[in-house]
Amino acid sequence: MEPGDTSAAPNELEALLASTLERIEREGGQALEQVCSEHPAVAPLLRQRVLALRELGLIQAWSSERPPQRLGDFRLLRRIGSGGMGVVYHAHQESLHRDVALKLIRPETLHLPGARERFARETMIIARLQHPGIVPIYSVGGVDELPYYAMELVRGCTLADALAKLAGTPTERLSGADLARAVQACSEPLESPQPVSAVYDGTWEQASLRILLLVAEALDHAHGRGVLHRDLKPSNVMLTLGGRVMLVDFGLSHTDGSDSVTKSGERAGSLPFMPPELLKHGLRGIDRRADIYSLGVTLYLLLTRRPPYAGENEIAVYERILEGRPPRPRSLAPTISWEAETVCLAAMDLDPERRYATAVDLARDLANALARRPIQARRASAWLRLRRWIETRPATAAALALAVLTPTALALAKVQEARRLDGLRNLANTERGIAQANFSRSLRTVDAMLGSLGASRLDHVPGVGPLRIELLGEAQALYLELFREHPEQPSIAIQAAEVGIARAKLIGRLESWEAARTAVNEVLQFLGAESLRGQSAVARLEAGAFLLLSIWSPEPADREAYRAASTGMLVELAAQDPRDEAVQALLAECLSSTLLEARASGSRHENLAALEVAEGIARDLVRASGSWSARSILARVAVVRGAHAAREGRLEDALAPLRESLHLREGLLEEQPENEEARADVCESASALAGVLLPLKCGQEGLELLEHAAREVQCLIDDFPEVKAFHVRAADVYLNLGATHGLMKNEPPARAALEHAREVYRRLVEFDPRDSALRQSFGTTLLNLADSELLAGDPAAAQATCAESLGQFEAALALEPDHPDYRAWLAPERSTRAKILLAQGRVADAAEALAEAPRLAGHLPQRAIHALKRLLIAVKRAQSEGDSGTIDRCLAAARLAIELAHERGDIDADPTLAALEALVEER
Amino acid sequence: MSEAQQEPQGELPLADQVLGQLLEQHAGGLRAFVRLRSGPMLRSLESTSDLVQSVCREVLLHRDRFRFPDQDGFRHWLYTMAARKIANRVEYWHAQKRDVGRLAAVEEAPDLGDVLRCYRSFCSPTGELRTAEEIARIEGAFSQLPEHYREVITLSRIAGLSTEAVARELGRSEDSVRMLLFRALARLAELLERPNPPAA
Repeated sequence: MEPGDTSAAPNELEALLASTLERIEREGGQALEQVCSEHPAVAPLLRQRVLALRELGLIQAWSSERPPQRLGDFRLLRRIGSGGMGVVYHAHQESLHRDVALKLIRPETLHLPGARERFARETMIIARLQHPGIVPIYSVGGVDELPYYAMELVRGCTLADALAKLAGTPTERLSGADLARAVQACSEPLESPQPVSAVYDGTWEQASLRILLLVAEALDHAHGRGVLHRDLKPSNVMLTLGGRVMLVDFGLSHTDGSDSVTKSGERAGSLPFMPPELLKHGLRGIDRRADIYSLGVTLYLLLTRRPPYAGENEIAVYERILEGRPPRPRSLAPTISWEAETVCLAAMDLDPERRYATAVDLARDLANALARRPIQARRASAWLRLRRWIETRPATAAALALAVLTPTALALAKVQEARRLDGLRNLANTERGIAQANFSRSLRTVDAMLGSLGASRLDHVPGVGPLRIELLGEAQALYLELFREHPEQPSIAIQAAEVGIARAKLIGRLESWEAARTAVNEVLQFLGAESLRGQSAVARLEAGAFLLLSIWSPEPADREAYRAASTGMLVELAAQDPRDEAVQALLAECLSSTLLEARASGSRHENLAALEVAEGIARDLVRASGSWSARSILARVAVVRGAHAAREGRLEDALAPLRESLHLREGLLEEQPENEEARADVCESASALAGVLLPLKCGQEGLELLEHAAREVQCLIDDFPEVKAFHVRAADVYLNLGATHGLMKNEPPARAALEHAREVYRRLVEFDPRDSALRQSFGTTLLNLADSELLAGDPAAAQATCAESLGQFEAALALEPDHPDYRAWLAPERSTRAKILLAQGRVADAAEALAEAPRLAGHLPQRAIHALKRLLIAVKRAQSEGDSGTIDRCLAAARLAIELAHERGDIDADPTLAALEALVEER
Repeated sequence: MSEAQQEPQGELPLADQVLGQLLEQHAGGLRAFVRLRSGPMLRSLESTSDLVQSVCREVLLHRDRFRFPDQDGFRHWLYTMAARKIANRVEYWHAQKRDVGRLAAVEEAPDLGDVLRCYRSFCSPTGELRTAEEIARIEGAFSQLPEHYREVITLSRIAGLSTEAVARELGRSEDSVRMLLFRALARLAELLERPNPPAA
């Protein structure tokens, strides 16, 4: 239609109106006037029709844009935000020539009951707050019954906007500077450039903690004036590049003493940030600790960039909030410090009583975490976790109610159970006193006590380990007392020994191996009684006890002796009764344990033979019973077989058994999801399989397995912090994760995982300095870390880390001088050391470091070849750029290496060796 | 007393409480949607209240199928369920092969006030609807719109679905949804100016 056309056909007018509506939605109300000025003839009709639609609220741009351009002294420039009941405009205050943020009540909410009152209350609340972290109000007014207030215009963006800008980048790769860039990108451009505040300095975590610290201070000010915010979340935190952090939108806030004007049944806030007490008891049930909770969730989101409670729908989220078991932040982002995680979880504790009591307490701990000072928050103790665990599993809780868990605290439970035990003991004594002949009744009493207290009901319940040890000790003592009075009943002693072995295993897990050895020795002592001679059950128990001693003895020679004794006894027992499953299971465990240790005394042939026997037994057991424990043994044998093949470099051979073990263990875990040993076993298999997948070019699959295992093992540690084995497993997984990331060139995650592994190993080695295997793994971690540091361009740090790794390998070797694996680790240490020296330009030193590597590599030829490859590089580099002295030193080192390589006899045909020889001869 | 014992007695299960709240929030919109989408024929055969209640019943019945990550997702789920319900009812009445014209018109329960409130929550306060005549005028104009126009306006502006959600629902591109919507609104504006056709 041409401008000025007065005879528009109906369909043309419709098309013009349609395009006008589109422009209005896009450009706002002024678009109508522009179209009207272009088409004056149809302008009245256009206006009339647009008005009709607008009155029905069918034009979106207008339904939320009214009033359009001016309010009293203020010229509205553009809308900058909106919330549930308010709209905020960037406006110009003409009398004072300044730009402000003008907040109006949403016109469409005006008719809602209480809307005006709530808006007025928000205005009053903010007016009484004066804090750098709260945007000040300039003036309050109203035009045509539309209330508004003007406040300082903050040139920044919300934390939610900044986080959205960074979506997709893993947290490990982000720093405070990235957050500053995101804030800048989301903010309106400033006339003059603003310097970036120190708030954004350092790591992502540091910047996050600083921001939350400032919010907590502002919140403390509000709380101090009786104001609860009630809608704390990232979109209500404003950030500026200059480092101002402001708490905004007090629209749902509440003051002490004022009646709630929130509509009955209406929820305050946004679901993911709502505290559980609000969901349970409504607004009546909340106080300032509700804001602390929301701040904790905000910190969680900031640190991990994931909400703590996700779900496929609102109901699922609702339920998870009430459950209060978020994934540990460190399981999502391993770089998060323990302190930051603790502060975060303490702030968002399910129980308000266990949260920070005030915002200033939270601010103090945020500052402590930032400065790496000790924090005040304490994690939920084992009994509390236990109680929560039970609360979320009513069925299990009902089953456990018989035992120890009905009272509110385990401590109380313990006292009560001690009384109950006394009662049982008295009962038993009385029984004996009344009628000695009534022995069987006493025995039944003890059995009943053990059945309800000490046995499988308490398996897999976090935190009850120490109590179980105590209870099993009591039971063992009671059995022994009965046995002394009735030596003609060997079954009582056998029961006492079963209980004693179970107790020793728990002590080994929870306390020390030394105490566990003492407990086993006690059992062996009473099993040696004259009256028990010749009992096959006694022999089986003794063999089991020896097997435990073969694991827990500090001296390698003792371990060997115990294992040999155990194996010999079990083989004999198996020959007597091939159907005894308990014997078979022990035998398979014993054989695979021999192999797992890869003792120097066993030849490769013998080891493989033992493995075959173990596997045969395990498969027979599975065929015969198919029981959970039989499949568990088979899975263990499979993982040992895979690990053995992998260690020898036969990766393809390792793949099938490792996959089988993972598959079996996943099935076992499915059947017993609460069994923590099964959870740890899955992690072990996944980690071992991942180690093989990477060299077979399936790194991604390996990475996924490891990441899953890392999360799982972290949960295990959270549930059972007292179990050392889980910490060892975690360190192993992180080591593998770091190495895999490293080989896939994912440097930051590699570094983070390795640093995490280093910290765990360091603690473990300090805890148990005589554990050579730990030292070897610690050394391996350090070696990988040195590589990562070198890659990051820090050869000095790499050198120090490499030297520390050598210290650990040497310590392991000193503890077990005959262990072939520990000696073989010296070869990769030399390779890494040489790599660092090469990076520093010290070519001859590098070559000399490598000279002995072919000998140090021992039974692992690949390590010798790897060292020779690096030596080849060093010699070539010396020849191309070195002086004659350097060249001579390199050649001398190469000659020695060649000689040692030939001494081995297993890498004579290797092309790297031939190339090195050619180079030396040429010279 | 343990926390569990402090739970109020006799309340609905948690999931139903949340659903109840959500349905309450959307009750007004749902009524308006059902009235506008059902058209005069269905409105004469079934009351809006019955249809709305029937949709709510289905929501509760199929609560285990909920997959709404947020409010928008719920809105989408609710209104598409309502749209399907209306389509099914229309189909049902056609399948009855009755002379729908001869059926006694259903007396609409005195819920026009509710509808007024429903519309108000979607309308700007400057043009508050005041009378049942106004409702009749709007519904009359709506009923004269072609089905695809009625569909796009109700989904986008009454149900409040995003353009992306409407596009998904109608199997069109977002651009084409926008174009369709503005044409539909332009036609509606034109129809609003006309007097309502006499009732059948």
